[in-house]
Amino acid sequence: MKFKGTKISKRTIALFAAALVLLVSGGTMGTKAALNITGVPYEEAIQTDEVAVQITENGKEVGTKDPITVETAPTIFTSVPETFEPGKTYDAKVGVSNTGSADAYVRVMVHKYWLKEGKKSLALSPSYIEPITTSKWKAVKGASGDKETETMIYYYQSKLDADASAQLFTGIRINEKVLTNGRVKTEESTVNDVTVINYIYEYDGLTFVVEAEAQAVQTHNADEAIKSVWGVDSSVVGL
Amino acid sequence: MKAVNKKSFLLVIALALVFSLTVGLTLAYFSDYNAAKGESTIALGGKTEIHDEYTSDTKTVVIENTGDVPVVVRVAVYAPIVGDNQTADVSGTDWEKVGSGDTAYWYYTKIIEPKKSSSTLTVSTTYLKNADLGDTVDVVVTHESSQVAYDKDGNVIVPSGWANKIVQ
Repeated sequence: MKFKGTKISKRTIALFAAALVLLVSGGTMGTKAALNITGVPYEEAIQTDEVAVQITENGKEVGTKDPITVETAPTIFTSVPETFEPGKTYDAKVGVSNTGSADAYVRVMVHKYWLKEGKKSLALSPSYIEPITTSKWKAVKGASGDKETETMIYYYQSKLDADASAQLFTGIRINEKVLTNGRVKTEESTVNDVTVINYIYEYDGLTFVVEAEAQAVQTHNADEAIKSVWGVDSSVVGL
Repeated sequence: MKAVNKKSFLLVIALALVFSLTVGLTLAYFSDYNAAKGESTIALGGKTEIHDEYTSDTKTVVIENTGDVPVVVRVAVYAPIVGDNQTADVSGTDWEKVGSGDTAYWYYTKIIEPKKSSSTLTVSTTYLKNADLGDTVDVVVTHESSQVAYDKDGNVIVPSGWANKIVQ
């Protein structure tokens, strides 16, 4: 047999035909076999340990994964009064909870700044905002994103077990220097023949803000994990 | 030339493998984050008003905190003894005198909360036996107030130049 000038032997034709028959019949049988499966499917879920962390206040989960902005509604320091007295410490039991199924190393990045008429202000130093922390955390000054913000990073000094919690803040205070070192002007008036001199504090009505971002990383292969995710040596968490 | 191309190709493949391996390791670590925000406003200043009445040789003084923050107060009483024929006694519950003469102050020993008032400080004048008809007594009262500030231990910080008479 010739096929456009190429001679094909009978043997080749026979082998090709046999291969074609086998291929077609195999596909058909395979299809039949697939259609004949009647047993209960066997399923097996592969589950990995989950690392998850939550900000808490008074044991209640109050955090979010959304970006925190100036407009974000506050969810911590909910029990402090609307107005702060300088130097006075107010209770604020803020912490982190390991809500995952795996142990984790935890740190909290705390950003502090002042707001004046809704905008970040340098009128007062952010260092006057003083969260009171427990002794289980190591404080390291961090790099802040802008000049109005002071960032501190608190590293929990051991691993946080799954389902365990750790308190970071016990309270919050504003340094009394905002009163004693604050800029003051006098305002004199006369009421019923009585001279009244009032001191007007320039920083009256300023709002302080504390943002807390908890971060957790796995404990397995911790040295590399902490270095990779946080960019710091694992000794910072006491390893 | 073919050998060089082959080597370059192998090098590219090797680099790609190494790079993909690194990326894979980074993505393999489990981590999580969660954030929250807290805020409050500071109140600085404090406002007070003096309320005084004079009846029958007695002047009563009350200091009212009309502001939004707690304050401490002290009062100076000037009762010049015209002709040296009068005396003035100043006293009141929770008031304590420090100093004498024109430098004396009466310190209110309690913190006055917003919208609250001090107890009454009473200034009683007495004409002495040798008083002449027409002698007068002129009682002048001044007061100072200061917003309460606390140190880290929770103690009230006494305003500069004040005696520490605050009972917490």
